[in-house]
Amino acid sequence: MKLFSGLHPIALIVFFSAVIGISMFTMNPILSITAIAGGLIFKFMLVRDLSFIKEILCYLIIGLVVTITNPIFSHNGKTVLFFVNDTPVTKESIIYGCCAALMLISVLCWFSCFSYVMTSDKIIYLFSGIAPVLGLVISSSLKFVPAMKKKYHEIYSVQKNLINENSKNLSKLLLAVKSFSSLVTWAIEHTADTSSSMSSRGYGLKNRTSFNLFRFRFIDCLIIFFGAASFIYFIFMIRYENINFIFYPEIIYPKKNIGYLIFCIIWLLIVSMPAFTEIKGEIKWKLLRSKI
Amino acid sequence: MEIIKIKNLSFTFEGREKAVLNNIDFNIKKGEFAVLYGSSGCGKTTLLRLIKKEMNPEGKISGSILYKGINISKLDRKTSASEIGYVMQNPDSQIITDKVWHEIAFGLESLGHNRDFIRRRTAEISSFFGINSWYRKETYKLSGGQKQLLNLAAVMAISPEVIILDEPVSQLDPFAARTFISMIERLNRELGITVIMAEHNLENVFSIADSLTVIDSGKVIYSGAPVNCAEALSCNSKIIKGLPVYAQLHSMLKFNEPCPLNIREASNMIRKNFSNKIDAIEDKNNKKNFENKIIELKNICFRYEKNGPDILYGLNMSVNKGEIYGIVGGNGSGKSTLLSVITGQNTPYSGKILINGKKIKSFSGIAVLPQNPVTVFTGETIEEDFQWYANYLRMDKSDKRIKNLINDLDLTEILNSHPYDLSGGECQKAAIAKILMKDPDIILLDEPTKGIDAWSKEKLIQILRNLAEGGKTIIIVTHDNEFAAETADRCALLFDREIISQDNTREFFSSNEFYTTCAKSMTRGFYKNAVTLKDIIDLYKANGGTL
Repeated sequence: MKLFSGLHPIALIVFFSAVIGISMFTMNPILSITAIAGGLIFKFMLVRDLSFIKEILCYLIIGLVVTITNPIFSHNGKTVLFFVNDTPVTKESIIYGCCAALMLISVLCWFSCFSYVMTSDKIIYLFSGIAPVLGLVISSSLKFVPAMKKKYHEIYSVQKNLINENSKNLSKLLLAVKSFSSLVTWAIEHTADTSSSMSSRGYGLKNRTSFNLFRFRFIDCLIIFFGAASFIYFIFMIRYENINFIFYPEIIYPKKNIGYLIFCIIWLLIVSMPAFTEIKGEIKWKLLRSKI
Repeated sequence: MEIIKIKNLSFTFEGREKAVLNNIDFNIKKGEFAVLYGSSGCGKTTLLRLIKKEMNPEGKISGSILYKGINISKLDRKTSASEIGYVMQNPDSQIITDKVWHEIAFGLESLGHNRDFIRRRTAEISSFFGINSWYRKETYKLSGGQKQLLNLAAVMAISPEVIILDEPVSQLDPFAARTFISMIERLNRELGITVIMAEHNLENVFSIADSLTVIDSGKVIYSGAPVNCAEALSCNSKIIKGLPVYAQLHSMLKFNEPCPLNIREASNMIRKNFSNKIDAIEDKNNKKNFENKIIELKNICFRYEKNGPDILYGLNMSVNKGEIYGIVGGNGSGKSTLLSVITGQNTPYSGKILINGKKIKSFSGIAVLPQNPVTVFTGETIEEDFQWYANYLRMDKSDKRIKNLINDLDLTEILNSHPYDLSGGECQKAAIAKILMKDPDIILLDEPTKGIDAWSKEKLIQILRNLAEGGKTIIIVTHDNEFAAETADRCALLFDREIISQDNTREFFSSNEFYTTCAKSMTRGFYKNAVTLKDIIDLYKANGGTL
């Protein structure tokens, strides 16, 4: 019952493009923090293990580095806090670094959710939308690479028995070179078979279609509409109003009018939606399971 | 009604003088289960490839192949792709995509079917083949048997009228092979699909084939029902080896009754025609006295991962110098793992390995013949490869040993070939020569009978015997009970992570009731310890029978 990650690939790509696109161009700590919160909860619902803590630590380090580096290089801003080696460190540049860090983390966080949700079959589906051959190429390389790795290990272990590693200095290198050259021959033979298997199953006939296991549901429509609409609204806001903070020479908050307020609400809805649907699905599943 | 008619077909490969196929004539009826039989390199594959337009090899062709009255070369691509399916030998290389469902859908996509149709058809096919539980799996994670079943399913999804199979089970273990063959039998019996299958080992298909066409060096030497083939082929000692044991027996003794098609009929034939006054073989030469233990494993425990299951646990084993030791066991019982532990590629977490009574960290006197012998070679030709390796070992090019090896193993003719162009048996022989170059004391063989024909198997047994006589110790891991019974001095059964029983080969197989050889099953309750065809013949003679 993974509702959100089970959406149609098109819905997912539209949604994630909107979220990541908007986060990238907002310098507004309130919006960034909302995005990070939504993204992290969503990611936690997806992975649910210790690797999640590692990820958060990673974000903290990145954030710290960005926050510290900005005041070192940028000396803009009105309010000088102190001097280091005769160069001023300003309040504005510290806050700017902090906001930039938040923005960066929000983008990274959503990218990591994106790569988790967009499994290979979804990516292949999207590419075959552009060109069917492209999808097939990705699909067959996803099959070929693990097969090649496995073969390399097989050849390597056979050759290792023939070429004694300990006897000569260059043996390890020799072993790798020999195994690799044997692997190349194998790959050529292998692909020759694969291509005749393709043509014997009618590859190259006209009107090839492309099959997938995804279903397009009403909810996918809604998500696409919602994602696209909020992105358009965001562009409108940037063009005619302002949602970003201005930092130099002094910090100016965006005007708190109705347009800004509506945008904040929409943003809150968007970034909390994936986590919300996953949690809802989880609760629903627990309830359903308790009836079994 | 004939679905395929082949008339006067001859074929010569591009740039070769000698024809691979000579005046081939045979017909296949609709719904027939036709088996093409012959040793490797006899032209079976070429013939099959000529029937499938997309797979046609380059070369000069004369005569005609008609599919439903139309010449294959004039068949349009769509008909050829959708009505004739082709399954190749290697389970891995035919798979195109990364997901099982996508693989099944591939042919349907090519033919331009719409989404709903493909959805329904893939569901249908998966249910028929029992693929449901791995429908969404990655193809590279499947076992060999599953892969081959997937290849068949992917071909069947297009719903062809004829399926052509080129030695489809030669790379599978016996259990997976039986599953695969019974699936083909179902397709043939339940759906009326015409099946053309090439095989070099008839054991699996002897009782289900409608017709048998035997090809030897490019010529059809027999075509008809399997029942009569034993008699017709009795003069051809090379071809007869690939028939099941009971058919070979029948062809040797020439009883005035039809050839048995399965063990039950064979058992009846033996009871009717044989006497069992003397019902056991007295073994003199099999009780060789081996004194020196060359390799000893004590309480070996091994697992691949820290939290994984134990693959070997408390395993004890000892092999004597100069003997042939066979390790048999079912699928996934850890046979190959055991070999890797002996070679030192994997280190057990507990237990001792003693070589010549001493604990040695690494022992270079062990050579391994891998399951895929082609992985032994890295050069462009066999000769080049040998030369390089001789150089590496600091051997003289004109060293007598290399020459002797080439002569002993009869490799002169294939020295200039590319390793991938060799047949299974030839490649194996060459690989054996290469691993012998470093003059090992112990030779390990991993599934040596996989993918080789009966004739090469016979030769392999001879080679191994000679090596053992020359003082080498040989350890064989195999699924093939027949082969173990004919080759090994002692056999052991690996089961539940340890060696369960270990005995002289004859005692081992004659005391087993289920996990044993065909000859033993045929003579169960009649002879006490006949485990090979030779034993049955010997007992027949001892009881006064004449050949």
